[in-house]
Amino acid sequence: MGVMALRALVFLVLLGPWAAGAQTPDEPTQRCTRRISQTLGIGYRASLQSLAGATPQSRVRTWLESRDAIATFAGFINARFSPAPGANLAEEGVAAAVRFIVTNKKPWRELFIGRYKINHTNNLITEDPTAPALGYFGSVGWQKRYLGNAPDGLMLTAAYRTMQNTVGLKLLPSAENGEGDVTATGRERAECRGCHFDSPYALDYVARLLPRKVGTGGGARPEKVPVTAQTVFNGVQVRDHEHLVEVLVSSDAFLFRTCRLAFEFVYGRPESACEAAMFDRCVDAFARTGMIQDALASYLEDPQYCEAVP
Amino acid sequence: MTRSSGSLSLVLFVVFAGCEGAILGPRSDVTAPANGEPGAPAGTPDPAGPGSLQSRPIPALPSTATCTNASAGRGYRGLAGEALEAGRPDVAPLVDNHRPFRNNKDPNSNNWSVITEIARSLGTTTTGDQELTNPGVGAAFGVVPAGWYEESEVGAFAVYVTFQYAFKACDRAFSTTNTTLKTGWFEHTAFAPTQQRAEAFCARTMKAAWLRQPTATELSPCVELALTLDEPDVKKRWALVCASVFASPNFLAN
Repeated sequence: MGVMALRALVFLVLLGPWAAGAQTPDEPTQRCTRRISQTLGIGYRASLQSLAGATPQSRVRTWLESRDAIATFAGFINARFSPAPGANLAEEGVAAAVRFIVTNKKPWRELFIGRYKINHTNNLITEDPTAPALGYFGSVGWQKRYLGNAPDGLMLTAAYRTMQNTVGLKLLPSAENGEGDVTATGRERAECRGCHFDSPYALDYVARLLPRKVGTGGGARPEKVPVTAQTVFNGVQVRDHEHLVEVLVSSDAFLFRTCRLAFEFVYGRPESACEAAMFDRCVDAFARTGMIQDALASYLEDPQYCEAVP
Repeated sequence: MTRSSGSLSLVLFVVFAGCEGAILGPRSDVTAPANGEPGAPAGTPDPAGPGSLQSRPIPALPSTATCTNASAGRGYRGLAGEALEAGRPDVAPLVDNHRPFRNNKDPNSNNWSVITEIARSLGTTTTGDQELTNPGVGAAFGVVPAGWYEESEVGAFAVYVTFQYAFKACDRAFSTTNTTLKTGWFEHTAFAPTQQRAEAFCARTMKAAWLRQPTATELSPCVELALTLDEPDVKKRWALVCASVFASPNFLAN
């Protein structure tokens, strides 16, 4: 009796969840599960087994909390916020910060204005009320990566990355910059000043709010210096570095950027004009809670997401 | 050229003929117009100003696309007043949705990969089979560094590698009488293809691989391939047909 029962138990365990009366889901359910699990970078078979009769889209919130899904999304954001993979751990703070924010279910804007510190020996993050409200922008690893090469110490690269990360700004270096004069005088030239001085997103003015690069070569480092208020974004007076990032993440452009990123993560492409309604629902959901999970779920839970691929 | 390689070339030709080019996801960012450039900002910041969670709704830019009842949506303004929705592709909704296999972790992990999907479709397992756990298969879709992300592309190399791997997996499956294998193949693969057998085999394989019934248009070239392949070994012939199903865009992107 005991041996028979044990054998039966072993048999049931080997058969797995399908033996417990669970049926293989129908093909549309399998396809939908496959599509979502592929997007999130989570195990398809495990996702399918975890359905237990539920629809895949009803499981999205749970799957978004999985370690693999968070790692995939962190990699995606890192790839969108950085020009290339980091050369060392100190340059990989963005992915670590995303994992920290999503894992701990903090508002997405905290990624940029949260008071936390990144330990670059292991990229572990700890909250620190004494840290500047600059998220990963305040980390030494990030600032060193984007020190730039301006002789006057202005961190122009960091200024650009700050705006690119938060509001999706995209600037292209001038093809006519043949002389390669990176001094303030060189940046004033007609082919350069459009981005450096004349734009509402003027790089030089924004960079004046940031720390300065001191030293040269391998010894170069960022150093906080007193700053004066700058007028940028068509008339907005910005006091300092923290105020700059606060202005950026409080804008409609930040909402737009976040929902564009979420759409690209979910669909692998930007939204089209005819998908505006779906995009607007993401903006509404994200504006309501400030959570990136809600932005992602607004697309993944939409019935159209699984119907889009027959 | 040997007889087998001739068959392989023919099958690959059929596979490529069914492709619509590389599948990859486009990318975009907001491009800031500088003052004085065409399309430069209106010059007035959002009236709600920084600090507002979301400003009042504004109409979107006019669209010339045929959106079939889809809303044009709202307009969004950047910090300089520029229209952020400018540059959206003016195309119908929910097109270009298929995404290729992505191996952002270990290509041989039990997570999503070509290898595990082919095994699932055939009802086989790769466990303990050195030849069927070839790390190069997943890598054909691109290996992304840890902490990074790239949209996969299905190029010629990925199709070729998938075809070769699928041929091996199909051939192995048809040569085994493992009871865990799904039924529906053995009664065909032991015999030379006929119209009826080819239709049943192709429909069965496509349904298993694509997770849906094939259309008549999709079924037809598969049947034709089974009936015209110049491969004397019956099992290999079926395996080539089987592999062509896995090397199609319907399997490689979903």
